[in-house]
Parts: sequence; C-alpha cells; structure tokens
Amino acid sequence: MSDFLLSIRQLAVQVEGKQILDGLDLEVRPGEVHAIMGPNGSGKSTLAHVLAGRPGYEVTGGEVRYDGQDLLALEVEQRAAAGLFLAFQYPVEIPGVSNIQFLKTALNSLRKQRGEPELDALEFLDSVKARMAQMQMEEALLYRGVNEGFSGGEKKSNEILQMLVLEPRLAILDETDSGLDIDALKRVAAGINSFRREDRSLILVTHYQRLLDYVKPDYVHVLQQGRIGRSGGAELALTLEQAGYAQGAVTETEAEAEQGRDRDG
Amino acid sequence: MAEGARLIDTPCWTDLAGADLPWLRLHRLQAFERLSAEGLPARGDEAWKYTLLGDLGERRFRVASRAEDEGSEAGSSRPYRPQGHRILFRDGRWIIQGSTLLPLPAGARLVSLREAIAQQDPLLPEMLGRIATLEGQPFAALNAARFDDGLLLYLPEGCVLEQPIYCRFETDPTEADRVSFPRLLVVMESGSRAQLLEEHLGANGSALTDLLVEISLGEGAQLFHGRLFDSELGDRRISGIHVQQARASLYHSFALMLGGELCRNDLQVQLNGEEASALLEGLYLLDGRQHLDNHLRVDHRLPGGRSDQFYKGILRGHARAVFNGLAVVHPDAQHSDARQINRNLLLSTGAEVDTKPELQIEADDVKCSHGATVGYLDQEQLFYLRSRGVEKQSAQALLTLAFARESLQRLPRGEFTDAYDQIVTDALAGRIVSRPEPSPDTRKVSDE
Repeated sequence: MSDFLLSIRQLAVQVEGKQILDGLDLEVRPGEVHAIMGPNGSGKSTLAHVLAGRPGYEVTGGEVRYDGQDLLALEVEQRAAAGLFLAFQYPVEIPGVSNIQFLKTALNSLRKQRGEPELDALEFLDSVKARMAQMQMEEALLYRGVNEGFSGGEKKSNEILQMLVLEPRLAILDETDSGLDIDALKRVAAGINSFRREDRSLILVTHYQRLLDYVKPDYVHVLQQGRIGRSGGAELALTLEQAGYAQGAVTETEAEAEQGRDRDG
Repeated sequence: MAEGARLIDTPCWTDLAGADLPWLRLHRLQAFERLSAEGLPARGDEAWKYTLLGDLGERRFRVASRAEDEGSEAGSSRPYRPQGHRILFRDGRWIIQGSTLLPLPAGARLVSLREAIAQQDPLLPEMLGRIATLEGQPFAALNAARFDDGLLLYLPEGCVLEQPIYCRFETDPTEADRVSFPRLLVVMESGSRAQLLEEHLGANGSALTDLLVEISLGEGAQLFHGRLFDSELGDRRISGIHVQQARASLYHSFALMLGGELCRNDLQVQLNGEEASALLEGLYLLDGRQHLDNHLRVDHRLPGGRSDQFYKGILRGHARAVFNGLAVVHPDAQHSDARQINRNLLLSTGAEVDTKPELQIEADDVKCSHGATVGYLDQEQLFYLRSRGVEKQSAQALLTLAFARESLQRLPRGEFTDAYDQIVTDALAGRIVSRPEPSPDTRKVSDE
C-alpha cells in the first residue's frame, strides 16, 4: 500500500480525437498542496475534468489510483463519495434548485453512499451558515437557485463553500482564482487555507501565480504538451511569473525533442 | 332513455334549459347554424392538424339526464375539501348535494347557469355568447348550441371574493360515450377580484367534455383562473376560454395539465383597454400516449397592454404536446409588451412536441419576444450535481422538478399553490424511474 492518496501514471487523454494529455505522471500525498500551472491549452482543465469524471474525455492510456482504487472505473458520484471534489472554473447555474437544497441533497447523498445517517436539518443549517459567514457570503444566496444570477466572485466563493461543507479528502480547484478581484481572491484563499489539514490534499490548477501568494503550495508542476514538464517547490511559481512559461519550464524545442524520442522508442 | 346522437346532429331544443326564451333560442340556433356550415374540424384544418379527434364526429354520444346525474354516487376518489366555494359538476351539471357555497358579498351572484336562466337573470341576454368567438371555434359553437347548465359568477364594482371558487368537473365513469357541455359565464365589474379554480377529474375513457368559458373583466378587475387536469383524468376535454379585458385589468391563467387522453385548450384573450395584462401560464406533464393541444391567442388592441405566455412541459413515453401561441399587436396598441415562451423537456425519445410561438405586430413601438425550446436534461447541470455526490437518478429527478418549479413559482399564493406543488412532485416522483436514458443532444428551435 503506497502512502499516496492520488497516483497518476502515464495518463493519456483524447478529446474528440485530439491528444490533450500524453503521459502525465503525478503523485499526491495526504496533506499536500500541489499547484498545476501551464499555458492555455496545455491540458490543465482536462486533467481536472478527467479526475472528476466529466463525460466527453477518452482515456487512451495510463492509470489513476485514488486511495487504492482505480479512480477511472468509478461513476462520477462514487468519486465524490470517495472524497474527491472539483471546484469548477465555470460553476453551473441551476434555476429551480435552491443553493441550500443543493448542499443538503449533496451532503446527504454522500453520507448515504458512505453508509452514514442523514444530518439533522437544524445542525446542518447552522454549520452552513457559519461557513458562509467565514466566506463573507450573504445568507440570501442560500435561498437563490444554485449560482443563479451570482456574480463571478459569488460563484467562486460558492464553490469553496461547497468544499468546506462537503469536506472532501482531495479537492481539485480549477482556475478558482480567475476573474476575481483582489478582495475576492483573499476571501477565497482564506477559505482554501482553512480547509487545509494533514489528511486533506489540494490540487490548484491555475494559470497565474497570484493565488499562490495566498495559498502556499508544497509543489508546483508545469504542464506542457500534455505532461508535467517541470516540477519544483513554491519558488518555481515565482520564476515562472518573472520569466514566463517558455523559460521556466522545458523549452519548446526540448519538449518536442522529448516527444520525438518517445515516438521513436 | 334517449338514443345516442352524433355531435353535429340537431339537438333536442325543447330539452334544454330556457328553451322558451327567444334570445336564448336565437343564440343556440345561430351557433348551431355555424357549426352545421363549418362542420367539425377536418384533417386539412390548420388549427386542428395535430389534434387527434379520431372518430369523434361519427361517434354516437349521449347526454346524461338530470335525474341520472343527481342520483349517481359515482365520482372521484380524490377528497374535495379545499377552503372556499366548492361546486361539483357531474357530466356538466351543477350537483347541489356535492357543492358548498359560502356567504357572498352584497350584490355578488354565484349560481348554476340553469338556475340563472330559470330566473331570467338580466345579465344573461346581455353577456352570454357576447364574449366568445365562434368563428373557427367549432367546439365553442357546439357548446353554444347545446349547453344546458354551468355557472354564472357576477361580481359588482369593487367586490372582492376572499375565498376561491373551486369547480370540479367529473364524468360518470360507469357510462360509455357520455358527452357534456358545461358553460361558465364570469362577469366582473371594475375593481373586483376573484380566484376561479377548475379541477378536471374522471376516468371514463369514452367521455367527452366540451367546456366553454366566457370571462369579462371590468376596469382594474383581477381574476386568477387555475385549471387543473388531474393525473386521474382519462377522458377527453376540449375547452374554449374567451376573455375580454377592460383597462388595467389582470387575467392570470395557470393550467396544470397532467391527465386526459385528449386535452385541447383554446384560450383567446382580448386586451380591449389600455394597460391590461394577461398572464397565460401552463405546465404539462404527459406520459403514455396522451395528447395535449394548447392554442393561445392574445389581441393587444390599445396601448400599454402586457401579455406573457409561459408554457412549459415535461414529456415521456409517446406523449405529444402542441403549443400554438399567437400574440397580435394591433396598430393602436403602442407600448405593448408581448412575450411568449414554450419550453419542453423530453424524458424519452418517443415523445414529441410541436411548438409554434407566433407574433403579429402591426404597431411600431412595442416590446415583443418569443422563444421555444425542446430538449433533454442539461448534461452540464447533471454532471455538476453528480460531481457533488448526488446519484444520477436523484439528480435527474431534481433537475426535472426544478424545470417544473420555474412555472410553479409564478403561481399566486393560496391553498391551491401547495396542492399544485404536491401534485407535480408526486407525479414526477412516480414518473422518474429507471428508464433508458435519452440521448444527450439538445435540440434548440429558437430562443428570444
């Protein structure tokens, strides 16, 4: 039994016949925070979606072990029940389902799948409200349709609120920092930091380094051409910020050469 | 016992209420002449091309006698105890034993049409038949020729009915080929307010109910008109609702349609005064081989009127729904606001929707929009819910209910609001069971 919560080996993924991920390796231990960075189109979001089980992605190679299980064999809701959470880059609006009803249904579904009893309604409401206060969200948002007419910041805060309420073991945050002003970014970052615990892991998918000013990662990986091009500590993000992806990671030519070698071998 | 007769056969005039009243005889005769001239809808008739009338024209129907209806114990198993005036119609007849009327404000009248005719209510020659358009409405003409009972509601100026009026329409399930022609006349003077709630029940597959409703709203009058076609309903109901509105009046109609082998509604609203509003809403949940036709027409005749057609439907099995909404903005109706939305959710690949929202605009300064969608459950929403741990079937049920709830949220508050909500929740809970998943593509006809 490995001490990794998540272990990805040689993952290859296609979308509509196009190779997006091509031999990606990544290992995450409990309690670690990993940042996945990279230019647009490098496959960051694809990685997040494939882990959560979004339809439309074809896994053509490799494997993903999560807590000793074959993650890719699990249904979407089973992955959630196993403790996986994806904060969406573009949270979905669901008019007609109130936010509170959504949270309650989700939490009780998770508990049911884990064989735990349903939560007491009042206790649940209190705990949700406490977390909303922590996220500085208006309580009125609980009674609106899920994300319906929420501002960009409210949508992202709502993703973090769900994470705090559902308490996953591995949270993947897909571009959670995009479109946030500095105050909203700080609130979201504070929410993420409060989630950190030695038995909880985080994967932060981000294009920019600025979220990492507030949430300090243990590891930074640069995704290039469908695989991890370079890995390092938090300082790598700063290097990238100053020098850009081309210099900070493997150079284009190096990566191409590497691909060529793979093909030859 | 009378032999059955075809719908277009000459009625036995002397059997009908008020047969000796000249104005009423004329009204019936004129309607019958129109029906004879135009006939029942034929295949080539555009407005009826989807409606499955089958052998309706050839079938021999029988009208129940008064004695039969009053003596019958037959009826629905559903309890009928809402707070308000409760009127029971069996085979189109007002049944006294099953009805409960509460005290009315001074000057208000709520009586059976038969009674009003017997008493020669002066309102009848003045209003009955003056609101409905019979042209191109063969079933309205049929009702006008053959009605024998129904309801008269009159509210004087400023009269507010606090309690809703419930009208339950049942058909005797034990008799084959029953036909009935209930007729409602609602006249509300300026500033009056009321809630009228129809409830259609009955499991008689061969029965036909041809309902005609005429509504006149005075200045600033407000009527909420709820129409429930219960899931228990197994027969055929054809309704014509004709409304004329004076200045700043509000007509709010909400039809919740679950049952019926064949259900057709022709709703025609005339906005004859400035700033009159018509909210025409509907929600349908269909299954099996049910067929539902909704034909709406709003005429904006003077400035500042508002009409909002908002119909949503959930279909499974081989059910079929037709939405044909028309808003006509006449040259004098500047600053009109006319909206039409028809959204449909298909839960099976065998269900079918034909939708045609239509605007005819003859004024230049107006706000009009229309849109229609026919599609399956939103895959993004489904994935979002499942990614939070909600199991697939529950997620589908939740989204389907949410789709319906957007309509239910438009209801005014009342005892019936919760009842409607419960009916929809129950119906969906019974229907969202494991079925083959529809293909995920979404057909979008047009929007806005």
